[in-house]
Formats: sequence, C-alpha cells, structure tokens
Amino acid sequence: MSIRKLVPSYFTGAALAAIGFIGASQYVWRVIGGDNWNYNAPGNSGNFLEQGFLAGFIFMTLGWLIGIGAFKYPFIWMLGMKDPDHAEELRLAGAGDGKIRYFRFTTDHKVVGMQYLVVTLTMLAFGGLGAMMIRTELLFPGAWAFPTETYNTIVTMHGMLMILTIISLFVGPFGNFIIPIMIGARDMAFPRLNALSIAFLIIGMAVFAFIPFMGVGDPLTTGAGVQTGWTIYGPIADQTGIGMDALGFAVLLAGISSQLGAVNLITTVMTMRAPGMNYTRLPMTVWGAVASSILSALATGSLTLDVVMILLDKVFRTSFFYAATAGDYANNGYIGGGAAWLSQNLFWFFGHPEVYLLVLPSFGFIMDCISVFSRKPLFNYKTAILGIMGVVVLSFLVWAHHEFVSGWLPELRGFYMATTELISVPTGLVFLVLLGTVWKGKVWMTVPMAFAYSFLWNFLIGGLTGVYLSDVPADVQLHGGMFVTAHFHYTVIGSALFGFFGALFYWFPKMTGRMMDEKIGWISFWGVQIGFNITFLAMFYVGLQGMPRRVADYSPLFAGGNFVASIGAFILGASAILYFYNVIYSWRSGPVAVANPWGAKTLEWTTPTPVPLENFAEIPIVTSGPYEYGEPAPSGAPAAGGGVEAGPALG
Amino acid sequence: MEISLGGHGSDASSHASHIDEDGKVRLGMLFYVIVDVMFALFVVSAYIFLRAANVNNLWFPDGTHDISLVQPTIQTAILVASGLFFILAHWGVKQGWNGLVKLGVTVGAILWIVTLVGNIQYMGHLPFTQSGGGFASMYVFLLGYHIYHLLFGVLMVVGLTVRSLQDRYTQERHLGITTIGYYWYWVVIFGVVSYVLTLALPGPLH
Repeated sequence: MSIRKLVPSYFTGAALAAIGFIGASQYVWRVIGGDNWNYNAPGNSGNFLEQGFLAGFIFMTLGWLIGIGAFKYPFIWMLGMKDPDHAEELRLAGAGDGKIRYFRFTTDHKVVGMQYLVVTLTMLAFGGLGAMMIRTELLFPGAWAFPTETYNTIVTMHGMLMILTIISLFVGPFGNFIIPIMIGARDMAFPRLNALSIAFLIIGMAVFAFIPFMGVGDPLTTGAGVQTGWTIYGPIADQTGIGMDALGFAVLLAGISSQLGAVNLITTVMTMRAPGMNYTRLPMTVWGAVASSILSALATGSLTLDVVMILLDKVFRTSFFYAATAGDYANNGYIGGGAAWLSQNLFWFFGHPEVYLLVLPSFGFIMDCISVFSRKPLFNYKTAILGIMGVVVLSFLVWAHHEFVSGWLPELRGFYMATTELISVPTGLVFLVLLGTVWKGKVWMTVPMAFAYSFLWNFLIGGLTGVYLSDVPADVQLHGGMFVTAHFHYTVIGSALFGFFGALFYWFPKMTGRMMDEKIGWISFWGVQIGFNITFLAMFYVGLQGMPRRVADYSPLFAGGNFVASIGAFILGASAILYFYNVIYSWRSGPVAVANPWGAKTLEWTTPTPVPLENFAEIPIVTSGPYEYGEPAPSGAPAAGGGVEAGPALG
Repeated sequence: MEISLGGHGSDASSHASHIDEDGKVRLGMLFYVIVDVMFALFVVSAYIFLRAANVNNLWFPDGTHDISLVQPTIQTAILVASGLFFILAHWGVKQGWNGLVKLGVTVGAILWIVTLVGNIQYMGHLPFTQSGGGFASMYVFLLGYHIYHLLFGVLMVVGLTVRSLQDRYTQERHLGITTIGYYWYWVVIFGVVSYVLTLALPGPLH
C-alpha cells in the first residue's frame, strides 16, 4: 500500500485532530489564561479550563475534517476550479482501492454503510457495558460497587450513548447500504455529504470518549463527571462537572451527523428511485427510514440548541437556564434571567419525536420481514403508510407529557394526555398490518422472523405501559420511577434494538457475502429475549413498588425485584455478546451466501454479492410492488418464491 | 417485485439518465434550509419563552439601555441590499444578461462580507457581555447565530462570484444561482427577523 493512498485518510485526520486539540487547548490555557487559567471568580466571564477544552474540541473537529479531506471539494467549487469528472468520482468512491477505502473519506454508500455498522456496533458495546455496570451496582441495596458520583456519571453516559447509538443504528448501516439498492439507485443523492455524516459521528464519539477522563471537579461544584442523567436539564447541567462540555459537544456533532444523513436519505428516496418505483411500490423499510429521517431533520435542532445553550451557560456564563436573583450573582457568577423550563421544553421537543425516530425504521423492517417470511403480500400497504406517517405527525404534539409534574402550564396537561393516547391509534394500525400479514401465512421460522415475533410481544408491552404513563393521574404516581425506565426500555430495546438485530441477520448475507450462523443466532435470540423480559418485567414490579430512577442506593424493600432484574440483565448481556461473536465469527468464516438466500422480492436481492460499485449494471425498471408473493407472475417473469426453500435471484 | 432490464443504451447514457440531477440538488438545498429554519424557530421560540417567563427584573442588564440603533440598522440595511442585488442577478441570468449577473453577484457578495465584518466588530463592542442576564445572553446568541450564517455563507457567495466571473452560468443552466439563492434569501430574512425581535419591538430602548 502506497503512502499516497493514506493521504488523506482517517489516519491523517486523527493526527490533525490530535494536533488541533492539543494546540488549541494549550493555547487557551497557557497563553490566554496564563496564571488565571482556572480562575472562576464572580464577574469574570471567562473560565479558561472549560474554554480550553471547548476550543480544543472545536479545533479537533476542524483538524479531523481537514485531515480526511472533507474540505477539498467545497474549496475546489469555491475557487472555480475544474469540476470533478466521473472518473474522479469513482476514485473517490474507492474504485480499485482495497481495504483502505474503509479508512478514508469514501463516497460509496456501501462503504459508508459498513463504516456506520462498525462504529454503531462499537458504540452499542460500550453502551451495553454501561448497562451492565448499572445493573451490577443495583444487584444489592447499598452503593456497594461504585462511588455515587461515578454511578451517576455512568447512568448519564449509558443513556446518552445508547440514544446516539440507536439514532444511527438502523438508518446508518442499512439506510446507507441497503436503501439506495432497494430503490434502484447507484448511490445516495449526495455521496460526499454521506461520507461527511459518518465523519461527524466518528469525531463526535471521539469527543464523547473524553468524558470519563474529565472527572476533575468543577470549582463550582463538589461532584465530578456528568451527573445529570441523560436528560441534561438546565440548570443542573450548567452546574455539573466539566465532563458536560465533552458530552454537549459530542451530542452537537452527532446531531449534525444525523441531520446531514437525514437530508441525504430523504432526497435520495424522493429523487433517485428507479423508473417504475413509485411511492406505493417502496418497501416499508424505506418508508420507516424516511419517516425517521423526517423526524431527525425537523426535531434534532431542538436538542442542538439545548446543548449549545448548556455549553454557553457553562463555559461563557450566559443565563439561558439560570433564573437566579441578583443575590446569587456574588456566589456563582451568574446573573439570571433565564428559565429552567426552557431546557425541559427544548429537550423534550426533540426527545419525544426522537423515541419514534428510534423505532420507526424497525417498524418498517419488521413489516418487510414478516411479509418475506410468511410469503404473503403486506396486509393493507396504505394503512401501513398511514400508521407510520400518523406517528410522525402526532409525535410533534406530545412532548409536554414529560413535564406533567414539572409545574409548566398545568392547564395543558389534558391536551398532551389526549394527543399521547391518540398516538396509539397509528401504532395500532401498524400492529393490525403486522398481524394481518402473518395471519394464515406459511411461516418460515428464521432468526429474523423470530425477532419480528419478539417485536410484537415487546412493543405491545412497551406501548400499553405508555398509555398508562400518558394518563395524568397515573403519571403523577409513576413519574421519575423505575416503571418509566422499564417502559422506554421495552420500546427502545425490545423494538428498536431487536428490530436491528433481526435486520442485521437478514441483510448480513448481502452486506458481507456470508450467512450468519443459524444455531448461534437462535441461542442468542432466546437469550436476549428471555433476559430482556426478566430484566424489565422485574423493573416494572419495583417501579410499581415505588422505586425511583437514577439512584445507586435503594431501600431493602426493592431488593428482590432488583436482584431478579440484574440477573436478567446479565443473561441479556451475555446473549448480546454471543450475538456480537456471531457477527465477527460469521463475517470471517461463515458459509458463503447466495445472492438471494431468503427468496425475497425487493431489489437489493437482485444484485450479485458482493454488490459491485454503482450497484446495477443497468438500472432496473420496476413493474410491480415489493410483496407480490403468491400472485400470478406476469408472463416471462421468473416464478415467485412461494415455499420455504431459498429462492433464486430474481431478474 | 418484478423488474425488467434493458431499455437503456450505453453505460454512460444509462448512468442516472432517469434522475433529475438539478431537481436533486434543489431539493437537497431546500431541505438544508428547512433544517436551518427549524433551528432558527427553536431559537426564536426560546427568546419569546424567556422574555415571557421573566419575572425578576434581570432581563435587561444596564448596558442594554446604551445599545445604539444606528449600527444594527445600517448593517441590516446593507444585508437587505445584498439580497436585492442578488435578486437582480437572478433575474439577469434568466434574461441571459451576463453583465448584470456578474454585477449583481459581485456587489451582493461584497455587501455580504461587509455585513459580516460589521457584525463581528459590533459584537466585540457591545456595551454589555453575554453574562449580563437573560436578554444579554439571548441577544449575543442571536447575533452569533447570524454571524455563523454569514461566515458559512462566505464560502457560497465567494464561490458564486468566482464562478459567475468565469461565465459558468447561462440562461439555461444556472443551478448554483438558484440553490444558493435559497440560502441567501433565508439569511436576509433571518437578519431582519432578529433585528425586529431584539431591537425594534418594545424593549430596552423604549
């Protein structure tokens, strides 16, 4: 491998990022700060310790983007130089390059999809590690495993990391790798923007990795780390340790990444579809991912604004979330004039659409999966679209149900209760479609189909408990307790994550050219499903008993339930490790896959494996919908799959 | 899913022949602006929320009474003028008047950069700091967000100027002018909105 291919690459990016961070932070600390670098006296609007970190993160990001060559084409455009021709575009997409194309700014959507897969699985592993640490602490009453400040920081990091992971977990790998092929396109609409979105996610996670090492206590507070919980409410977030600076900046970068990805995906689906692939012939996976991207594009700005305001409050002593009176000024340097409710509203205006952003891609995939493995057309395609889009619209009208007990506008609680309960109607439509599809189907039981069944079970529990929580009188009792934690884990793990597990098993042959091991797949499926249900059913139990969230120590009253929950969590963790092992083992030495192992009828299975650069030798012309199992084939077309045997590649 | 292959000629002609490349770029830029508009809506909502929620007389710090209306007004006027020159250029390119395109884009870009420099100078000489209470924080935030818009847009307006001076835009093909126009109009609109919100509405000066 020549050095020429390594410049620019992720390696030069990492080098410039390190130089950017060290240079900028040292400049602020030593040159601007001088003797006062940690000076935080009232009236001084500067806090050089935090300003140094923030400058470091900004220049780290710039160094990374310069180092990977992300600015090259914007400047070529700006300076009016010769536009890149098709050969140049192919080179940028990694034509003729070997493995090195996975380690640089590569525009091929399949490379970006694989980069997303590796990055998000790594994030998932670290988030899961945090979950195991939390359940270890809660195994017995008494804060016996970690200091309480450390425990709080672990809870915050676990929550935020998992949210960032699951935002990208489905739309990242499959939205990039599979969806362009599914709609018959050669690439995403904006390939360079695509490469930029994964670059932002990588550098965001690099910033996130600073948090455990930024445990130095802030002079303002006694604690260390980020002890706010994942909701990072101001003004608690303004007052927590300096780890908040890393968390806020990482969330900002990950938000930019998901917004760029969302704009790209929506544009791709709207403009790059193959001839004949009209909106009612799109596989439901595409609808799910587009719906998720709409939410991402419209709502993420609210979270971005929230973290930017927190960073400004912390580092530059603004008063967005600080509603102090003048007397406090002498004590802590804030003047006041802000509002804590602003933080909650900004956070939840993103936060509630965001939970649908997490599950909608899984909704879409599960519908495809059930149709493929029950060998039946989707029951009522248009109702399925109505269900998904209904969730999108309603999800913007429900956010204040998180603030029922905060005291903000109590007269509106009835409205938010009604809208929240209303959202069970479109999700009910999705259930109707799923059950109608599998009804009287000739089901081929595979691991992805098993995950689809588990989705039905888990999302039913997660959804129904959500109806209880949206009810104001019930919420007043249950708010801030373990019941809430169990509820949203049922929707996020049991639906979004298990949908991803099924989807990875399903598309693994197309993405890597090898089948995942069926036997290990079944063991890991039963392990995660049983372990997950033990954990969170026990958590519902302690929640109803009255146990609050986010506590390291709890009353012996809750000991039994927590012990069971922790054991379940360890089963879940061990089975997830088994699933990861399956991914790595099968990627290296699984049986080689045929082009269409499931006999599915969507376009991605018509391409050879591995999928060539630009996907299709000739763009296909689509003449029917994606689920035409058992329909009489038009004359001249290959026979439909119909049975349980692996079907031939169609087309 | 049934598909049929064929119907396309050579590889080169089948390459994206069914895709409206210009429409793709227009749509992408539109979505980018929508994402930015959403962020601006959140900022404006936060401003109104804080202004409505303030009860403890900490909203306007002392210095805000000394804000001069002159410089912000001039800067907003220059930005609006920049947008008008751009509209002139856009109209010119549709008529095929190349000279007008060059003039409009170049003058518009220069006015854009003048506003940027003016705003940075203004931010550096405010009679209060960002830590002076709710209004001060919000004022500096809106100003900073506006400066970010202008700074990011420098890439676009300079590129547009260079490329129009190279005669790259014709009556038939002027995608760059159309799409960057979306951003240009949006930044001018946001400049006016934040000017009205912070200064012209009843506030520290009244």
